[in-house]
Amino acid sequence: MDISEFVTRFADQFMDPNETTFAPETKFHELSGWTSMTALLEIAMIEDNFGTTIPSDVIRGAETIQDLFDAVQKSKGNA
Amino acid sequence: MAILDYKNIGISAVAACVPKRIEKNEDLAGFLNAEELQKTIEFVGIKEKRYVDDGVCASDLCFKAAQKLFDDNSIDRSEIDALIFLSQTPDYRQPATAPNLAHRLGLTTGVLSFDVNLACSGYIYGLATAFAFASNPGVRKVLLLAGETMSKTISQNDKGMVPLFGDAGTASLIESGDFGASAFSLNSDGSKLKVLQMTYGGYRNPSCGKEETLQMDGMEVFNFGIRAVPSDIRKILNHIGKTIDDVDLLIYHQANKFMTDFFSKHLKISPEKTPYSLDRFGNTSSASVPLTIVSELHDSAKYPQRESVLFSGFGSGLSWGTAWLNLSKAKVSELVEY
Repeated sequence: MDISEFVTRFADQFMDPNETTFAPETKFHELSGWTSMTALLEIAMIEDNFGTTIPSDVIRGAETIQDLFDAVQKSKGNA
Repeated sequence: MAILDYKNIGISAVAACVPKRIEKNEDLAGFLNAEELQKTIEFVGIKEKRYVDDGVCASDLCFKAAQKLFDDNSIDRSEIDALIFLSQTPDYRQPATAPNLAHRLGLTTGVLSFDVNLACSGYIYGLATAFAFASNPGVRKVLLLAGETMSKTISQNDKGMVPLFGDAGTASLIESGDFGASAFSLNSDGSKLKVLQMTYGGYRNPSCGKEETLQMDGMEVFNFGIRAVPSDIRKILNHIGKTIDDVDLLIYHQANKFMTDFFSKHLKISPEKTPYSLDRFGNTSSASVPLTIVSELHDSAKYPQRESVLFSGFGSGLSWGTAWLNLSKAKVSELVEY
């Protein structure tokens, strides 16, 4: 999966994906639709697509969607 | 690593009581916007829950459940030698609720009775304790009463908590008999105290009129659950020399559906083996496993295989546990209302 597809799937977990334009540099913690529930849906999305369960502190530590994508790749040993 | 084994001790009867008052999550429109509401209901899997009226305590719900259990099974109350009241919403800060509950139920003064203060793992701990007492020939029957009025512990302004929690009281009877083997794994991690905590109202931080409500870091709870629960279930399966395919039923503490479905996916257990009462009663903390037994297993045609059953409880403390036992001899009463 490349970053553009990851951004699309990341956006799909939001209650209202049209509220903003999602991009690799989007600082997702600052979005109004970002909640702990969204975070859990992102963890499930990542597991479904990458076969890895990331700890919540990886999500907390990622500032942008690109950061999260990189962390997921790293946790899979693909970085 | 606390793993407890028992032989020929088991649950002979279970009953449960919920308040009549239904609080529907769809009625939270206005409190949560339409999209938030729909996604939240789908995510947590809770359509409605029950709330007690003012003045009604967890002990009252347990009392009614116990009366139902006694009536349905013609129990001689003088044979109850132990009563455990498992709750975080007792009648008073002092003394324990159990002795008065034993008195109200007409038990003898020879009964040993005490409270256990544990949350969502509580039923597993309470059962393990009840099994230990019932293993002693000096104790004929143990009454385990697990009940909570969670509606009184949360802020009704907390958007994360209001859709989740409900109230219930339950009664389980434990005694010796031809039940076969059972095993329990019990665990705790106090370093994560703050993940789920009511910080004020105890003696560390006395009541200050604010924040005397349960606070939860949902992401950390999930993080804990996904790391602790499937591995504890695998640990007990390994201990008893069985695989998940050998299990007839896995009854989870009814936390939220997203979380427990996630566990099931990791454990590769079929949804047909994981009964849910969550959609109608929400998260009732320590009462949720016995409430699920009553609401889903009262009809004996439903889930007919009950010989190899797992219970999984997990929650604040942090505290978690898994029980493996034979539920096929348990007489399950019909759910009653208060």
